[in-house]
Amino acid sequence: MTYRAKLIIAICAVSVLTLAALMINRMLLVEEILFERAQTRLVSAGGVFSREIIDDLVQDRIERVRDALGFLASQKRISLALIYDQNGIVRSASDERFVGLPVPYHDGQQRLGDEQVLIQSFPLLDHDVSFGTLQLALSLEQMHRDLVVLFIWSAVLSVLMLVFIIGVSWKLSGRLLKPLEAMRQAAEGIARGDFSREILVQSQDVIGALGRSFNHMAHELDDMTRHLQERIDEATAKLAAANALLTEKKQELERGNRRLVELDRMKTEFLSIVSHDLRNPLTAVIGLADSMQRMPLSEEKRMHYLDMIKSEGVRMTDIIEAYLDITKIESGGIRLLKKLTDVAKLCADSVRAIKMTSGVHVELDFPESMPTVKVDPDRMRQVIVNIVDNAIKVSPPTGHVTVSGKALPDAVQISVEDEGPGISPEERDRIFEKYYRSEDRHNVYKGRGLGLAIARGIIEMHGGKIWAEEGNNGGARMVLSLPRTEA
Amino acid sequence: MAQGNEGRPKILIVDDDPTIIELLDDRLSAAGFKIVAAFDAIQAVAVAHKEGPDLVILDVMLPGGSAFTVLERLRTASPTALIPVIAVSGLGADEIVERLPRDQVEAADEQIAHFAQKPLDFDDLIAKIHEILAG
Repeated sequence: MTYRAKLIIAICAVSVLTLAALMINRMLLVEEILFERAQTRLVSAGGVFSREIIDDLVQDRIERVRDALGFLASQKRISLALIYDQNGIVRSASDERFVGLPVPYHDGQQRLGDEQVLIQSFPLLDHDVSFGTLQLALSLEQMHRDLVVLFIWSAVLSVLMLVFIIGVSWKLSGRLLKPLEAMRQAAEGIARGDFSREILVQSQDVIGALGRSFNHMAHELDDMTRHLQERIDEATAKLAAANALLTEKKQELERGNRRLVELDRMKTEFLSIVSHDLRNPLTAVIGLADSMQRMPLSEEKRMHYLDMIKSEGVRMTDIIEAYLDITKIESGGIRLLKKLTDVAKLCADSVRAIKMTSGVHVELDFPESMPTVKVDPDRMRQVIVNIVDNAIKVSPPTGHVTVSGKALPDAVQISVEDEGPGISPEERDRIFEKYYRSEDRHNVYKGRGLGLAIARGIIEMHGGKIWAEEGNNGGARMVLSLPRTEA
Repeated sequence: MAQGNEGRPKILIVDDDPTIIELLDDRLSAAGFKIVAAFDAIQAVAVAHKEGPDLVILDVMLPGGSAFTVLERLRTASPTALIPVIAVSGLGADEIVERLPRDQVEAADEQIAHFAQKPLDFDDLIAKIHEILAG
C-alpha cells in the first residue's frame, strides 16, 4: 500500500470520526430543542383548553366536555385527551375505553399503543375548587420523523464532506509527496549509477530540507564515483604500462635468447670454418715438407717449395689475424688510435705496400688539397690495402685500378675502381657480410669474405660508411665515406 | 679399367687453391698419373667433358658452385656419368653432411667413391686412387 493511500486512509478515519461526533452532537441538540418545543406546545394547549373547559365542568355539561375532548384529540399531534377525578378515575375521555377506569398513564414520555407520546396533566381549578385533572398525550412520532430526516440530511452532507475531504487530501498529498517521489526516482537512478538528477525543491519545510540534503548527497556521490573512476582509470593505465613493460622485457629476453642461440651457432660455425680454412694451408705446408723429404726434387723446385711453405705460413697468419680482427670488431674490442691524417698520403703509402704480382697498374687521383680526417692510420691502411688488393685481383692482367679522393661538405670519400667483371646488384650488400662466399666464379672475395666484413667494421667504427657500386667501365667501385672533422 | 691416351690414368684435380693443385700435380705425376686441373665448378665440368678423366679429385668448397653441383652435372651427362669421384675438404665428412639437405646426403654417399679430409695424407690418397681405379 502506498504512503499516499495510507495518508488518505488516516485522513478519512479522522474525518469520519469527526463528522460522526458532529452529527451525534447535532442530533442530540436538535432532539432537545424539538422536545422542548413539543412540551411548550402541549403546556400551552393544556392551559388554553383548561380555561375553555372549566365552565362546562362547573355546570356539569358532560356532553359538551366529551365533545370538547374529542375535538381536542382530533387536533394535530394530540393523541389522547382525558379528565380524571381526585380519586384517579377517568371521568371523560376522547377514547371511550378509558372511561370509568383508573388513570392509565403518568406524566412523562410513554409508549401509547405503537407510538411514543409525551403525557402532561393540568389541574382543572375554578376559584381554587378542583374539578378534576386534564391529561393530554402529545405524539412524539412527528418529532422522531423530523429527527430521522435530519439524520439523513446530515449523513448525506457528511458523506459529501468526506468525498470533498478525500479529493482535497488526494490533491494535496500528491503535491506534498511529489518531492519524495522525485527523491525515490533519483535514488533509483543513483543505484543505477546516474548522478545527474537534481530534485527541484523550493519549500522550507522538512521535505524541502530533505530534498536539499538529497541533492547534496547525490552530488557528493557523483564526485566520489568520478574520483573512484579516475583512480580506477589511473590504476588501469599503470597496470597497462607495467604490462607493456613486461611484454617488452619478455621480448627483449626472447631477443637476447635468440641472439645467444645465434651466437652459439656462430661460434660452432666459426670453429669449423677456422679449422677448415687452416687445413688448406696446412695441407700445403705438410704436403710440401713431406714431398721435400721423400721426393727427388731439383734445387729450383726445392726453393719453390720453400717459398710456398713460407707464403702458406703467412697465409695462415693472415687468416688468424683476420679472425682475431673480426672477433675484436664484433665484441667491440678494437681501440682506435685516431690521428689527423692526410688521406691522399695514406692511400699512396697503402698502394706502395701492396706487393705487385701482376701487371695491373694502380693510379692515384687526389685533388691538390684534401682535408685531413681523424682516423686510426694503421686500421685505415689495413682497409685500403684490402680493397685495393681485391681490385687488383679481379682486374685483367694489364688493367687499371684507380684510387681517387673527393672532399664533400661533410665527408671525405675514397673510391677504388677496378676493371674487373663488377659485382651484381644483389651481391653489393652481401659481400660485406661475414663468411659471405660468392657463387660467382670470378669473385675474388672468397677466402672467407672476412676482408670486407673487417673493412666495414673498421669504417663504421670511424662513423663512416662503405659500399659497392657499378664503376664507369663495367667494373666495381668501392666507396669509403669518412665524416669530416672540423680542424 | 679406363685408360687415358698415353696409357696413364688421367686425374682431374678441382681446387681453388693453386698451391694444393701444384702439390697434388707434383705428387700424383710422380706416382704415374696424368693430371689435368680446374679452379672452379664451371671449369671443372668443362674440363671433365673435354678431357674425359679416369677419376676426379674434387674440393668440396668451390667458387661458382659447390662440389655437389659439379657432381650433379657430371652424373647427368653420359660421357662423365660413371667417373669415380674423391671428395676433398677441410671440413670433416660429418660437418659436410650437416650442411646438406637430406636427399642430397644419400645421393652424395652413392656418388662419392671416397672422402678425404685435409690436411691430406698423399700416400693414403694414392693408394685409394689405385684401389678405386682397379675397380
